[in-house]
Amino acid sequence: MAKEKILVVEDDRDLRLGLARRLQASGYSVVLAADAIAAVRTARIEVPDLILLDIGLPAGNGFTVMEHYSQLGSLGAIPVVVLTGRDPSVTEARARNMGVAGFLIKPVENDKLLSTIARALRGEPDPAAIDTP
Amino acid sequence: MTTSTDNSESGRSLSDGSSPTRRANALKLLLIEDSPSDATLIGAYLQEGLQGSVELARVQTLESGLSWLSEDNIDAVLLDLGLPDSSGLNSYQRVQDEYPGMPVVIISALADLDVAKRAVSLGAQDFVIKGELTPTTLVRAVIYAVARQGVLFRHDRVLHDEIATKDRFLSHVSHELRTPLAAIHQFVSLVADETTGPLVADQRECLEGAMRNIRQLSSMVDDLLAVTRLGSALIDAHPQPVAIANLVSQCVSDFLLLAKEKEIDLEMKLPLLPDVWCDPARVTEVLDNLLDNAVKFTPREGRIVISAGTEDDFVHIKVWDSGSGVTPELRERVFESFFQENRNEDSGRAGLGLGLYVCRQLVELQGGRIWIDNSPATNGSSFTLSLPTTKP
Repeated sequence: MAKEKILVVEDDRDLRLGLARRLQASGYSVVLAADAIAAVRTARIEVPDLILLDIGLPAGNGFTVMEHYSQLGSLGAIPVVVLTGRDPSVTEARARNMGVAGFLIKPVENDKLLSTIARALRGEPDPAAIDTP
Repeated sequence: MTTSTDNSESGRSLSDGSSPTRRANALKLLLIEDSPSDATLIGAYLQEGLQGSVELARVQTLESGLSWLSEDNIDAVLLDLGLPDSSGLNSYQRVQDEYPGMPVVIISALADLDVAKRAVSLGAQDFVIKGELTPTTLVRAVIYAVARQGVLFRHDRVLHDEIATKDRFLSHVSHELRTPLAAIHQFVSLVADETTGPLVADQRECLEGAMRNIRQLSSMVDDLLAVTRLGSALIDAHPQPVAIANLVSQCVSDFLLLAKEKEIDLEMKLPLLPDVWCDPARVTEVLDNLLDNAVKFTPREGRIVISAGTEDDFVHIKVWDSGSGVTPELRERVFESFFQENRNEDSGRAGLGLGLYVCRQLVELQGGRIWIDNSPATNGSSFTLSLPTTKP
């Protein structure tokens, strides 16, 4: 079976690299994007199985990226897991409303990162999302 | 001087028409006074004392005074306490509630020092007695009232700006620290997990030390963010009926491993408890914090006991540890923000000193209380979390 492909959208070069290596070590194939424009373009070309998305990005933000995905037909069906350093009390409800498959705060423990990604790839709902109004 | 009087039954008339334009720098005052003779006298005193540079409007009732204030830009209010539609300090309170920051000079027929003191402590700028008025004292009271209120206003604004700047700074720092922290965490864990090749024991030990410190730094960043959110009221609680014994057991079980590592005897003695009204996520945060402190400050082979009881409409949850305890002088201070006890080098790092401060804010947000027990008979330290069994 082919490896599942994850698009990592993260503007910090070091974290992008670190996350890529972590996901590769866990058996995923990884493609990268460093800003909002590349996030949309790369998703369209690569058609990943999951997108790990930062919120604070150059040339847009995670929310505008998600809006673009949902306007691009099939891309809107790809599960998105948000990984952000922003205050969740400001960003989480908005991201959940946009239907994200997971919402994680930097820095995230690897167990949690990998289990969230695996669950999202299986298409199961996020148990943490139930609490969110 | 222009004088406007309110002689109509319900409303008011703006002006006698003699001088509709306002003199530059003239003080614009509103006199709320039902007695025509007193009003005339006060008007005359102001005119004399301010040599004409005053624009005085007068109304007879509190209601018409409040509606005048809503339409006109008034510098200060002179308020009689015996009005047809309101009396005593209630009148002042109404003006204050609807126009916070408006300088008010109370003009009273009675020389009651207690009422005067209360008026000033409620925020009135001055309290003058009708029988003692002279043009000089009245004008002084009015001018000082406006000036003092100006100082207060500027002071409040500076304070408000400072708090907003501090909150923005903390939020920014907390946000900006997360990405590099996440990158360090990722690189260190990649090596520690041997994805880059096998490790020898020494290397593993070093990396475990690094990972421990990354986690500590990460929880400090969390605390910073929590404090910022408390400051800007972004944090809220959603109380609901909660089976508190289950919640406590869950939290305690999360600490069993940590306690075992330090060979601490972690004991839980819970009787049957009624449901409490609380936000389970917030209470979990608080209990985690108390238990974390207990484990941190209890020496090896020490003891931690979690007990509970009911008193009136509250359930008390007590976390006691056999650690070195908190001295009586410091007992209240542990709940202050950025509180840290001076401790020796070996006792480990203290963190930012925000944990208990955040706990108290979170508990009070949902109608509960948290305190450190003062009983001198208890060695170690004992914290009590009290939560209501009825809807707050």
